[in-house]
Amino acid sequence: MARSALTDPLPRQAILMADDDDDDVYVARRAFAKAEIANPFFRVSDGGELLDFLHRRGEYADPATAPRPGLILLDLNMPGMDGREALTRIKDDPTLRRIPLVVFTTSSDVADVADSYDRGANSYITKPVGMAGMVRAAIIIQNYWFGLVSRAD
Amino acid sequence: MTSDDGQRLRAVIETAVDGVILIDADGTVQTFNKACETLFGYAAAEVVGRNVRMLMPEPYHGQHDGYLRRYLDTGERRIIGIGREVAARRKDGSVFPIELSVGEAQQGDDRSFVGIIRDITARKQAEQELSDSLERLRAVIDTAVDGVILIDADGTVRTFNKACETLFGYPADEVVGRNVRMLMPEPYHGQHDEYLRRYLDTGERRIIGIGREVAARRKDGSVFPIELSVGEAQQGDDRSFVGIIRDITARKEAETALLLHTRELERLNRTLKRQSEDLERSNSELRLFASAASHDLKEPLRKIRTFGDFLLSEYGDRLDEDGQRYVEVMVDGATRMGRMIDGILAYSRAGLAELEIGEVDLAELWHAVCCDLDIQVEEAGAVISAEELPVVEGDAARLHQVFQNLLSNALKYRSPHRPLRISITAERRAAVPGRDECVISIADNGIGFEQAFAEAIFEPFKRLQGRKGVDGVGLGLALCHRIVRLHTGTIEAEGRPDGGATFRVVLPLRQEVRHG
Repeated sequence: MARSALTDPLPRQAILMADDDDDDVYVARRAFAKAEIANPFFRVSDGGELLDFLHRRGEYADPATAPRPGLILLDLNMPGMDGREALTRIKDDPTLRRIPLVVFTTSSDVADVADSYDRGANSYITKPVGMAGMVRAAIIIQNYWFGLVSRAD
Repeated sequence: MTSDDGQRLRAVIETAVDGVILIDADGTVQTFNKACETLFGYAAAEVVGRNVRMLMPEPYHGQHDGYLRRYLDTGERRIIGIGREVAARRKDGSVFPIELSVGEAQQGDDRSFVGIIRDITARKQAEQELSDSLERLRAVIDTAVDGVILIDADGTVRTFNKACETLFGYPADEVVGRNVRMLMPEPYHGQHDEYLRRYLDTGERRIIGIGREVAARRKDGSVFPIELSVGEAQQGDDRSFVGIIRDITARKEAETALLLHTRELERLNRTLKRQSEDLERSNSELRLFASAASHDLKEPLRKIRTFGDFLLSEYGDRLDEDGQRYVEVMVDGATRMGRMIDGILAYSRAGLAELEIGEVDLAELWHAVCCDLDIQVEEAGAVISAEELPVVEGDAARLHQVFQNLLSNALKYRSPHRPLRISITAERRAAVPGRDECVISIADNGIGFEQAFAEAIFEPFKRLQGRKGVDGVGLGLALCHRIVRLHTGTIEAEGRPDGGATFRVVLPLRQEVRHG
């Protein structure tokens, strides 16, 4: 029986945000909600948790609560393993490197931008200030990564 | 004597190597042998029968007759039976030294004399040469700059040259004949005899043939450093030693001074290294601080702005006009503080990293700056004119910051009463020989400033205007100043209230290569 687009939509791919700042995560969640983006939204607080999530280790062993994400939003400055190191590890890992990874950080330092691309980031976005900017960013990110580009998964 | 004996004797005389002359009591030559013919250049026939004085130069020539007579009268001998060195004259008149021994023969009343003559020209010459070379050697030794001491195997001084007299303060006669250890301080003084003995016994060398630095003692008891080289001379069983002495006081002092200088230099180097490490550390701390400031200091501000913005957009309708204004002021303050932090960061970063020197086409750079600010230029309705601009050596990104700030300033501080005109001009000059520079002037017809503030405006956070209507944090010109200074250039401002402002940036065309 054919699936109805209305009643039985394709399972949406998850968005995984790695950020230690609860407020930023709150703002991001609000912005994605306001933009009516229905992708499941998951969050980890540092590089170590991010890799555990992706490798389904420890508390992230259950695929239901730790699905393979369709997009990673990665903060650079985090305690423990920071975003730079996590970025390198993900892009060095053949099983993870095709997951689109967007650096999503407060830094606008050109050195950070260049370094992130060198490590294999797919995009670099400086967090917009204010709700309007955040909502606009959420819409663009969703449209681009889940609508426009050809994906490898 | 038989005639055979006479025959044999004549043969002996004729073949003798030495000259043989027989004279009678009058001095008349009776016999003149072959050797004599060779020695004097006369044939026997030319001499026999003539007075023997013909073979003598003066004074012998004139004195011989008298001498012979006196001897016959008184028996006083000067040469007979003795032999001595005298001078003889050849046929050609030349004079040569001979060793002459004379014997007397008496047969009855008949007295005659036999002279045996040996040419000692070669020996004399050798003696002369020896004495000449000894003289020369003595002269060399005496005029030598180095001290020369000759001692025998007992250590007794035989020669003490002039240089030694100067070095030690002793005249030679106070030293010659005494033991050389008088010139040595302890421990050498006490050890020298023993050392010399051991060397002569065992051949064990400490200094002979080697040379080393030792101490010497002057007559006044003072001790001074010398470089001593000792050579050995052996003549038969006679061993003697030659010491060449050089006063190395000056060299020692120079070495000591050099050592002190080297130590001082090393100390300075260590200090410099420590300071440079301190500087490097404080620079890296500053970088760390800048990085922390960029992230951690701005984080709370971002929160204020973000949530202030939420408050306005989501709860704005529940706030009255005052409440909305309060939030706006808060957000505005946080925004300004964020920009200030960015400004401080840019200012401090400008002085931290090395300049990246390259060719910078100022015309291209100015064009890029105008493009960056095109919205503001349009908003201000500014008319910008640019003359031909030179290519200079410099850090393109930082020079971009300079001109962007200057253009931004001109745009900000425009007059509301007239259309804004901005011009950029360049002029080359050679301020100092070998240093070509260009003066870039950016002039506007904006609100200007009091000339009295022309220097103060380059200080950080210095603002001549209230914030009203003009944004910025008061770091732009300080940043310009810092960057231009890093390029070994200068920047100055000229203004009149409501009469426009001109900023002059002087940049050298070439940057000296600086090594980090």
